[in-house]
Amino acid sequence: MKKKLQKVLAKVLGLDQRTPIVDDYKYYFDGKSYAGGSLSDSNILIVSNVKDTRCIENELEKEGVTVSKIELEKDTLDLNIINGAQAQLIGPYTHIFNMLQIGNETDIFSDSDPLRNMYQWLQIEADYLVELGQTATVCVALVSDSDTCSIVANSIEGMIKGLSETLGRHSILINGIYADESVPMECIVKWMSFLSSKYGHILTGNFLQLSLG
Amino acid sequence: MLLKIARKFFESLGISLKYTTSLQDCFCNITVTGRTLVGKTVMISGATGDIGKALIKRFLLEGCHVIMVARAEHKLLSLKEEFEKTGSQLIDYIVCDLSDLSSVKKIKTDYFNLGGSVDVLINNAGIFGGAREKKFRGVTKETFTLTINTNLKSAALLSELVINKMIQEGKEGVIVNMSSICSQFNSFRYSPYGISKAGLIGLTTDINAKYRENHIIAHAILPGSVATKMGNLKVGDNIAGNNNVLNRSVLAEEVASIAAVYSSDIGKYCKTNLVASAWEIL
Repeated sequence: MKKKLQKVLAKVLGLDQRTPIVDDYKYYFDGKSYAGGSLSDSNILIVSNVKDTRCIENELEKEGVTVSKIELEKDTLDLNIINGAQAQLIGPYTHIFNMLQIGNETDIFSDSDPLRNMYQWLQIEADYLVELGQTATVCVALVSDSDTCSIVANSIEGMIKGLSETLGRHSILINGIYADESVPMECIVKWMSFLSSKYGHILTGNFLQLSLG
Repeated sequence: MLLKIARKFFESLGISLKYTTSLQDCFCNITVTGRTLVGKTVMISGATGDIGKALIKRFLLEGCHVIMVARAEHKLLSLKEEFEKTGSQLIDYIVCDLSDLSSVKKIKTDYFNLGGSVDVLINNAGIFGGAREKKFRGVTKETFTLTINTNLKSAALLSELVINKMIQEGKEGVIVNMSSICSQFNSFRYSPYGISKAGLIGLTTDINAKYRENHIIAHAILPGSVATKMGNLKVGDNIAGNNNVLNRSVLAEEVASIAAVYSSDIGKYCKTNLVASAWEIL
């Protein structure tokens, strides 16, 4: 009764009742981590149009994670596909990596353009993670060797910045990367690992540009 | 007395998160750089502040040799002894009043000309300069000069000294400038503090434009409200309830981890200044 009264009073006074998000577990990890060991034993889902993701998976396995992959070319992600990928695992996905590779041959005028694809993937992933009801991270990486990628990059940046507050209210922390062809895939994955780790929580809403030039 | 009771009452209604040393420790016990900083020399200005101390802990953990720079010798000595007790021998200091530009210039003779070298410079020194009062016409010349000298001009001068030495030695280097989200919000950006923090972003841009071909790269971090003395928070306080997505203040250890990653092998690819505020609205 007392707690109920406190809650009502807090609401009337406009006090924030959201539990602070902080990973206060002290991890122990033997390897050379870019995540402070905080991704170890977690399940990561990669949703990507990249065909060969062995390099990505190898890099992530160094962080002690279990990786699953869904390969998609269009805006056709749904919850059944995610649940199907997760069926053999112990525990849900608490980190999702979206990787979109685009080039000069990518048609940005079609109905299933990169922007539409990423938006639809994020909608379904949000459904999955909101249902999960615990702190989770989403990291979006746009990898491009295209001359006209700014249209897609700036749009996705806007998407992420806007969603950081909306999804953040559900304890889903989102950030992103835009990398050109001068950046090795291992480096992109290391940055994604850091952004998705407990140290990346304060970086929610950031959209990093990676390039050597 | 009544105010204290009222505050406690309201705190009991809201959610709380106690800031403890074990919370600090769990954000500084494992590498975040893949151990690629081992053996590097890192100079940290404003080393005796809360973020300064977190930076020292982080870079010592990463296997670096740390050079602390600050004006209070007794505090520097105390920090050195504290870290040496935990087994770390890789820590030294330079006494320098960063509000006095002639004192900053002396680092050249007192350190670099004696063979000292730096791989990473963290321009962390900063004073708030009364920014919370949100005055404009009431800001005195003394406050303005002190804040700009300490926060911005000393960083530019120290960066120049460090970069010249790096070029002389033909080595790569990293400069990390500790800016602030106060540089982005209208309620703070006209204060000397906000102005100096915006200036640091400009310094970052200038260093990158001038020295990228020398493989010397600069980054800026823009922290939000951090649980430090400057933010009116200390160990034992409730750090919940910040106007950001995490509903808590940022920890100094979290900011330090970003500085470490910026300094690592993957840092050179990042062209973006990172806003470390969990989407705080000021």
